[in-house]
Amino acid sequence: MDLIIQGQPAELEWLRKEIDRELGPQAQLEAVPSQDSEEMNEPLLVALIVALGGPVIVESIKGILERRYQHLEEIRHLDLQQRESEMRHQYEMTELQLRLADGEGEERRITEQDLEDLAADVA
Amino acid sequence: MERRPHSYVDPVTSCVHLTLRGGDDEFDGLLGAARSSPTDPSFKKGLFAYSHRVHRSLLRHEWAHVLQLATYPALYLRAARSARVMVGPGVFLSTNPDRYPLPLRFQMDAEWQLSSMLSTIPFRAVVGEHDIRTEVAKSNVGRGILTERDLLEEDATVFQYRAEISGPGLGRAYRNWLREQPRYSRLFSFLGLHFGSADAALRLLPVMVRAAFRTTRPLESFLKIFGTIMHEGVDFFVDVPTDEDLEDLFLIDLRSKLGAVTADDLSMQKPESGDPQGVIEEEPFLSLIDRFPQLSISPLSNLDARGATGKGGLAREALRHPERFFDRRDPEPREDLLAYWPPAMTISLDHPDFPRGATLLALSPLLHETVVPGLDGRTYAEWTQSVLKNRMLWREVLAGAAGVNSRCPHSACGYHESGLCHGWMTVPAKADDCEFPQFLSLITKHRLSTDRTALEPAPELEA
Repeated sequence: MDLIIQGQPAELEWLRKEIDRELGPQAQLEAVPSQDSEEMNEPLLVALIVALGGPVIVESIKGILERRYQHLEEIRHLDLQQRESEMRHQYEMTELQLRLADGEGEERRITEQDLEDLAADVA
Repeated sequence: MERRPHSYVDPVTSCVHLTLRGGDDEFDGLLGAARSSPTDPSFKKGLFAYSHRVHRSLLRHEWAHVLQLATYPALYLRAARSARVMVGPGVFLSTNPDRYPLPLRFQMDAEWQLSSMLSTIPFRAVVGEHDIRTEVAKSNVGRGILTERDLLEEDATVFQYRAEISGPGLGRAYRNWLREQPRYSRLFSFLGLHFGSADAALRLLPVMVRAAFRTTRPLESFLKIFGTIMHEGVDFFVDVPTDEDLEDLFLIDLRSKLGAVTADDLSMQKPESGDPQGVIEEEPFLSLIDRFPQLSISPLSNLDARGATGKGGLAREALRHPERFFDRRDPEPREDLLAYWPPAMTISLDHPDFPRGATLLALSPLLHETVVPGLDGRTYAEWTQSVLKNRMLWREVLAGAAGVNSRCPHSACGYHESGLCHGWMTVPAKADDCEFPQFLSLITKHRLSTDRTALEPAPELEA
């Protein structure tokens, strides 16, 4: 079962680093870059895919998602690095979109709170 | 909110566009010079040097894309078609004098539209026990999904890595390097997973991409090669001693499955979706370069394919073996590769106070030395400047640009609110000095109506 996280590139980049640091290869983390033009450009993340292999991973992901509010300054810095300066503004956290993919082509939207129940389900 | 990357290569113009980040004293000094004396040669030299020193690794990645454009037949073919699409609106307007209300709206033919987006269509490769199926995916977001862009980006990423370490590298080290910052990595992950070896994925990935882009259907060909490897066993291919032999092996396999296309099969008059499937051999590729020499990448393609011993073939060699051209202790590449420098680069600073008109345009020496066939002695350097203006202009118009040009201070100018000049790069100090109106009239045979709401014919410019 995969968790698909969609959000702003800077938040996703912060999450990518945290998930990689905390879970390493067991998260089977896949970073999805934007590919909406014919130009060949540096990657701008539009989604992360994490394999929910067990309750420990689910709990870790939940903890990382919660922690992101405490790292607003760090994420704001990543945002400034990624956007053109005339768009600079006070960075505001956005609501992440979470979806659960069962590997058979089915997906459903979930909330951060749902991750609690999910940890028990995958145990 | 739309995000623009800080660096990208436009396959139509082969131009590398860089918007530099900074914050150090040198950046601040350059910003000051951009505001006070943007035409001063020392500012331009300083900006060029800064981009090379601070963003060296990124530049090498973009350079790899330019080498791909010069040597991968499928990319050259696609760029030629995109260039045809690019000039389409100008050609249409110049041959159909009429009154066109603003903002301009153009509708691309559905088949051409599809063909222009082929590189971004997501596919899922389903690896079964006995076969590999591919299916078009609903979105780019999902595990195991690949696009052609992944192939090109990760080929360039491997190039960047090998140039940085000046060696072929190891799979595990490459994986760690990928994690340092956002980098394209899902193709490498996909191959690593199915080959069961990061070393094998690193070794085979760029060779598979090179062979795939010698065909008219790169992604399908890539997956065919992948299928062959899975069927025969990855060890057999990893044991092939050289990348050149490996590439030949993949091409023999593709030829046996797909056949080859002739030069006559590859027409600019029809969209890519109409191409027959097959390997584009060297002769049809050379014919393609000759039949469509207007591309700015053409001099590089010619040099690589037909250059004298010691000068030709270096683009292909560099893509195969970046470590032969880059030494991690030396910031400069091997001197002979400089002939293959990107045809054009724009460099600007990522700061709200950077005047857009101060953007540096750097053209490669090769373009200054080479004459465009059939253009009365004009060099590629002159021609490329015109191509870039066309490209920037129409890209913005076709993307739906409308209303005030916020990058230009000349609000009294008739074109300021027309939505036509959003892509115009050079903003002069005085509105009367702006070359945009003249350029637009030249390529469209139209001008802004006196009530500023439409384009109307300019009879004095019609041939």
